[in-house]
Amino acid sequence: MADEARSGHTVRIESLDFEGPLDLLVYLVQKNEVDIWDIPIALITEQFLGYLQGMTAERLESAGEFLLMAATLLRIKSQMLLPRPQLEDDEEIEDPRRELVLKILEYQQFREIAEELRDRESAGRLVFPRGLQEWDDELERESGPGMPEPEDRVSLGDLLRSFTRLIDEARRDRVHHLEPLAVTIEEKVNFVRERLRRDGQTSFRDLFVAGEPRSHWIVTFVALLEMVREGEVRLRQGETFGEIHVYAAGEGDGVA
Amino acid sequence: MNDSAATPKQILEALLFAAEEPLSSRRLAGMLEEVTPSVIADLVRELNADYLRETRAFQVQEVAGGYRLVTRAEFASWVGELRASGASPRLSQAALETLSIVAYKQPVTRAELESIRGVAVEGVLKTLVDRELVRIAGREEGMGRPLLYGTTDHFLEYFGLPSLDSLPRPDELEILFADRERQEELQLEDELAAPAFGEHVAADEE
Repeated sequence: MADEARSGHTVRIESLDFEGPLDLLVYLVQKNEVDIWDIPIALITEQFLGYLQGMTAERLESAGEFLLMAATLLRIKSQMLLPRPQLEDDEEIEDPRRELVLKILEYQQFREIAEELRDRESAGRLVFPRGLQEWDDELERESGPGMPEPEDRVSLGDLLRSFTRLIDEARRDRVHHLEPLAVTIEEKVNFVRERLRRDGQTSFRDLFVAGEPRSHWIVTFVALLEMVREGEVRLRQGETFGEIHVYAAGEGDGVA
Repeated sequence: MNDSAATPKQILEALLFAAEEPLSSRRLAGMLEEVTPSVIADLVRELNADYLRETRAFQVQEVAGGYRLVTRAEFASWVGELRASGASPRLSQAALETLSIVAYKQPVTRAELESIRGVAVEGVLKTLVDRELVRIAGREEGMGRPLLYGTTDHFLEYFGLPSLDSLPRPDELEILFADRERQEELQLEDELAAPAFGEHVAADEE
């Protein structure tokens, strides 16, 4: 036993990297080939402290965790040295190492499961589900000449973001319009249609006429949503948070 | 084959082909009418047998409580090229260990995870939540109402798991527990004969 303890000094583990104190303990138990149910606590403690001394500066942020474990080991070691109290019949003796052993075993269990997950991750990286690529760059370049290059589908979120930005900007001039809804969705649909017939395309922003009451803008917005739903117009956004362009369906988009 | 008579197997194949997310067997069973989830499982086996026989480049994978079409592993180097943003990095050892614990102990608090791993897990948890492998599953009742964490469907997809039940059960641990009981009994007998705990300790002292 004394020989075993002395050899503890020579164990070279300082250069190894451990996930944490439990990882190190598992390593020491395995390396020393000791029985997990009968851990030579003095030996393991000594090697554990030896590792701590060799810890490099960049590992110091986790030193607290290692120190806590070292304290636990030392406590167990001292408890083991205390003379065992006289036993009454049927009285259970709690091995001071027991709690730690259960912790090591539980941790080891999850490490094995982590290994299983690692294997599954490797296997999973080799198979691909459908829908790996959403949009083909080559096809997009076929958009009409002179058109701003539409690069992305526009989501409802993009649309709402653009609209609320417009509303926010308008809110800055605090003129209050109190008037009934003097415009219908149908009228605004015709307005957007007319604009597209004339210009072929329009920017989202230009559909909202400056000076118009906000209520009209909301009607325009609803009209536009309706037209998108009906497939009458298409929306494209050049870049994230960029200007949104409105096209009549079939124009300016190489991809249906 | 008569083109007007679509077989359940063909319908299943069409649905799997068109879907970009895994289709649950319950949903498939509902769409195929008068077909139970176990029949779906049989049809999937048939499809996979067909694909294998015809040396197709894809197969049906059972994942996250459903099925999806995936390419076969031997085509990985070509199909991987299609990916727009490159492969996501592999998970670290710390991330995998933490995920294992979340998977078994969910819903679980950060404190429990740290107690089992013996290290802080805050950063790792954030990575796992960002990668949508772990989600916040609520709050625990009581002091401080700490957040509870659980795994996502994407977790099952990422690891190709049909369900959480398909993870290896920690049965070994229970066997070890059983061993411990026996060991302790034996040890108790030994100790009744010997005056102190573990002889190593006394001998190791310098």
